[in-house]
Amino acid sequence: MPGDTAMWEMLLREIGVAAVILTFLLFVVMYPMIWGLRRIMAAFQVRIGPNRTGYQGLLQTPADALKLLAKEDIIPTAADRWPFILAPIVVFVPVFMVYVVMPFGRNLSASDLSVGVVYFSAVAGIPVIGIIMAGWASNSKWSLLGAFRAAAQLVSYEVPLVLSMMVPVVLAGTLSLQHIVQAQGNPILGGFLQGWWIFYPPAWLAFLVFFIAGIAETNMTPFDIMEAESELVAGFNTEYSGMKFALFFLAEFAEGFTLAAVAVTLFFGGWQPLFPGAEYFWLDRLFAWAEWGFPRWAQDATTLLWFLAKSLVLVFVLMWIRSTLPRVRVDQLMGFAYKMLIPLAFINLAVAGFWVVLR
Amino acid sequence: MKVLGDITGGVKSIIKGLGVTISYLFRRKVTIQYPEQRPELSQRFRGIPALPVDPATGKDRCIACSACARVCPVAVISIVQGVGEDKKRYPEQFTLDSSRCIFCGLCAEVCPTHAIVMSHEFELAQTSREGMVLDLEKLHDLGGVFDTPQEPRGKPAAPAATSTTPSAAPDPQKPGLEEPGDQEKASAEKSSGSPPPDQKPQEAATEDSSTESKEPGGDK
Repeated sequence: MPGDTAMWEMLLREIGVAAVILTFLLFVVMYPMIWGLRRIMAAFQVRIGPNRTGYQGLLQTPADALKLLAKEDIIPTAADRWPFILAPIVVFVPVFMVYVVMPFGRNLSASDLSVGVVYFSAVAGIPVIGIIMAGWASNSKWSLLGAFRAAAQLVSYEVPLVLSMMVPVVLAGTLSLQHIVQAQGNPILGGFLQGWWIFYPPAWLAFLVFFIAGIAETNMTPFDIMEAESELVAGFNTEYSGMKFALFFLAEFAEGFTLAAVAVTLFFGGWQPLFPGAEYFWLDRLFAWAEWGFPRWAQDATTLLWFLAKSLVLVFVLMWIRSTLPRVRVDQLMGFAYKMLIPLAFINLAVAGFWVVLR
Repeated sequence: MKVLGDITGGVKSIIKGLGVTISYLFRRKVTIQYPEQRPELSQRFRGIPALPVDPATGKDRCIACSACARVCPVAVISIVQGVGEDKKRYPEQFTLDSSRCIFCGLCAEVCPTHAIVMSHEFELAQTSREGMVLDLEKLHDLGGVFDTPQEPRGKPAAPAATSTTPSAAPDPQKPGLEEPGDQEKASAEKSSGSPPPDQKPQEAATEDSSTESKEPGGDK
């Protein structure tokens, strides 16, 4: 069919543009963020953290990346070669695929899928496969044990995660992330606050469950049994070195930011401001006062600031929790998911349904 | 109901823990940025053993008895004895291989004249293995000078015994508190022994401020 080639061309171009934007955004956001997180983590531990490479250590992350790139890429002789090579990619790529549907700002999302929430939960589930691949292919007992734990943990925490994500969906009546954000734009409390879902009672518990399950999904400290270094050397990535290890590491960092970004999108109003009329940090008034034009792209770009600011605050909270809580036991972890989070998420979802119907 | 209690208890403890960590966030950092900032070494810091020089005579107090060489568990000290015109023995050669020294401090402990002490020097990097072997001159440089001049240390003291000092110590049982050359065993005995509790800390404190190298009498 002749229409087919045109469609493919269009699709490819769209993918290309999206890829460029996303890469740029991630490198601009990601590198300073890793540096910031390391400094914050250090401050929590009463250390200083990287402060030598470049101004205040800003070039530490590129330097580390360069070092890891230059390292020998070891593949154990007993390893299953192809799964071993593929595993880091399978873990790394889906983490960044999530950003395709992320509404960074008004009109700022690479693709506004009508089933964005479903897409997110589907894509976010893929890294488990990579982790199991890594554990199996390494042919090492530590890796395999780590992968077993990862499989158990990630699969069971997926359930409360998705169930709690359904609450904003029920409240907004849509699965598109951009529309969920737009639905949080109504002023509440007499126009004092913007109506983020977190200000609605059914979302309180949902956010709590989402955040806890999300921490487990990103295997951060209270739930990092899959790479418990005191028990499993390094878990599933024991046998990895060089750039492959860097991919696992980066994926973990990116997952932290993804979790924060999705939480912001679903519960904290995405790019919506805290107060009605503060979308542009009152820049619009400044521009009007100075009688300059305030172009549309600039308006959209300023909404991005709200999104980033909120996400970074949540990332900080993640770091805070990470530096506070000790690791839980495996049985505690599984019991907590099945006996606490899943029933809570179900009840909460029902409550949210009643809330929407009865209001 | 027990479950609810568990949950509230858990939430409370988590919030408490979060409060603790956030307070640490703004605390003064413990990191010492080494090349620019110097660590504050304790009085009992065990750097490389060295031979301090007596400022009056310009000589060290070694009598070349080789007790340190014998006691050294890694045998890094070697001494060639010389006899001076006044029939006093002195080390003709005294070498200490800092590359193998384990900083145990036994040499300083066993030395009858307190000639060898644990210095505060810890920057011992060299570009060659030969450079790691410290000779008499280097050991003198590292040791600096005795800062309590002219305490006749004379007689080899039994390690456990406290040496006598002329400076008035009110407690006749434990007179050697302010003696900076007192060995660790002596100070350990002091702390574990039964001196009058009101006098010891004060004395130790005053002595600490007046002497700055070697082993202090007082505990910190």
